[in-house]
Amino acid sequence: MICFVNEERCVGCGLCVRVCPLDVFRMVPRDGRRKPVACAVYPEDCMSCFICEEYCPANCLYVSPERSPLHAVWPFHEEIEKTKNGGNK
Amino acid sequence: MIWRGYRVSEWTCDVLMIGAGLAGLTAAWAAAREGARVLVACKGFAGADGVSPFAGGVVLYLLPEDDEDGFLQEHERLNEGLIHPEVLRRVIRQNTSLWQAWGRWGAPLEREIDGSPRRRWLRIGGRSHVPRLAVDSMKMMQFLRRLALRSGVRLLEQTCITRLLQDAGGTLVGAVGFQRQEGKLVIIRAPAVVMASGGCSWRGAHMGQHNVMGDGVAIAARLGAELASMEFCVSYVATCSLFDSHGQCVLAALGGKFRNSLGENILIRHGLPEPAPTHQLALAMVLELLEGRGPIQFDLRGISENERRDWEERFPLVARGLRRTGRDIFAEPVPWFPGFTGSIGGSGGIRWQRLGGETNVPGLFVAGDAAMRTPVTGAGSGITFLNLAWAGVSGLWAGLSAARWARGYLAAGPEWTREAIEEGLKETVGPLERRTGFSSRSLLRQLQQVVVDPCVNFLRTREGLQAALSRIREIRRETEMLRARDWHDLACCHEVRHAALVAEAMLASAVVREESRGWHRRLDFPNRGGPEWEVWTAARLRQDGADMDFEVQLWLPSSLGTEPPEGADDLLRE
Ligand code: SF4
Ligand code: SF4
Repeated sequence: MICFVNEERCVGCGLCVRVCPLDVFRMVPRDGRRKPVACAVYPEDCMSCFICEEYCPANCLYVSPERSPLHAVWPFHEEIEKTKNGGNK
Repeated sequence: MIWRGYRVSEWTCDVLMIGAGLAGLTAAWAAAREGARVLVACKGFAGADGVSPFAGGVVLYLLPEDDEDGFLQEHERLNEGLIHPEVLRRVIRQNTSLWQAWGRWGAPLEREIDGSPRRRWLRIGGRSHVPRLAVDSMKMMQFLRRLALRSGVRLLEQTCITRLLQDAGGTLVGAVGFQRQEGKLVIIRAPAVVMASGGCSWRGAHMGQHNVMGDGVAIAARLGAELASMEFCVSYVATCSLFDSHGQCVLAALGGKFRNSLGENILIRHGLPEPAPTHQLALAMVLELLEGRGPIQFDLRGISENERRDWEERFPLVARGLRRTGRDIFAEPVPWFPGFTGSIGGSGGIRWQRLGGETNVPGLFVAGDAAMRTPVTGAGSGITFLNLAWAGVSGLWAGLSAARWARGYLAAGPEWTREAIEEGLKETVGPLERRTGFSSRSLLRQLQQVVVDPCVNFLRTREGLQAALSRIREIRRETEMLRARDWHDLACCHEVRHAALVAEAMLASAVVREESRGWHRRLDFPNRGGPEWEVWTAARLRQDGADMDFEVQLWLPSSLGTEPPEGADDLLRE
């Protein structure tokens, strides 16, 4: 999951749902909340582009820049994965 | 209206714009100013759609007093040919007047004290210094959204177009698609369509590009539009291994060095200029990795504090991501690798015949990355600052000509048949109705396996390409049996379907070009060809028995119309 919603602070404006280029969010009802709040229902599609965070008026979205592990399409993916956390080999 | 239990919303307009990046919004604005009723359909949010918000503030800006001829020569050299000088000259000049006008209307540009757009100079390709504008791309896109809305453009957002509709005579009459968040089908009547839906990233690794999946290119190809220069649709831009970043070219121009595991500067090792054109850098990176001298580190320690701050302002989103990784790429070298950007950094797309974006399908116009860009950016990505310039200018021109076409056509009255709509809607909901079928995710992986691999792409051979092509055909046939879990996934299914078709056109075109230049590298034809290869490819989908197939032909630059539509400068004069 790459994008986190702070539900406490969400004012339910729905802007993140509208702006996300990859359609990650939906508004969902929550107990004790008058209005539905944002929820990242398709987190695996998030590309960490920060657009939702830019637009959110309540500052309650946090996008983690973490790259999802590169899969085997990348011939050097293992090498790249290794270097992600330690810097030099 | 209800169709087989689905809710359908119906729309009518004179010009339908597909895509809302820089090209789409510019085209929408221009068409509306020309008197057309414009509807923009885009998958995201107009103003934050496509790759434009990530085109970090680099747009070419040449003034009349600059050395245009010198620039053209250098540009031709760095991009390894296939440029059309006359077209390029017109684009460069129109681009300057376009940004001047936007500047006057309050665009978020850096300015001089007298209010004129402020220029910066960026070193590229070893010796040339290219004047560019510094733009905050995200704010710029919001500005263009406001401009479009103010001129009366209507927006249909989070909407995926799946098919264009033609009348019996082959003229375009509209489009069908769906709104993924509302679970609703859409039918749009439009005598003119501007395809500005961007290139194809095949969801490679680079910031902000996962939503461009070749939709418009594939939809147009299915309608009979030709795709040009598709062999150049494999581009790689260096990206940080820690997270998907962009803005590499500016960092390199400021003095960043790419080093291999031996600590050697890889550009010097490969005899390349510093900073190198993107395609040359990518090739050098791949060779280093293949030969076991990876990982490649990007050493930014030579960049001054001021330059760093300036870069962070220019690329705020990358800078934010960077801070969050907890690593300081300016203080310690960090691994970077050649991230795949497909046709976004490459130059293939729908073939246009004249500068108004006219295609071989009457009523279909094209702009931005969805359009072939070879006449402007050539075979490589030598100076990438032209991509945004092309997006704006091609949008302006296509918007004008589409509006005029619609006006002429409406007099004759558009005709469309019930059957065409039925067929389009059936195709649209197909994946939703299948009980069993392939998942979009697994087919995308398989597709990437064939398309993204830099080893394969930089070491193309006839046999390798043909093997890849038959694999892609299999995958493309399988994309007709995709199953969508829900409306969100329905969009993914159509994207994978489109991206597979674009991949097929790319590989079919790559087989035909028997030489190496720019992004197209053949092991079996390692050198740049002679004058006989100063031609462009055109791939056209044709029915081949029960299946389909791309037929690729070569065509000459001389057949390209070089007159832009009239009146563009009048629009910009206000
Ligand atoms: S970071 Fe981008 S892709 Fe991810 S949820 Fe936010 S807007 Fe969507
Ligand atoms: S934009 Fe922010 S406040 Fe608005 S719904 Fe989304 S998370 Fe909540």
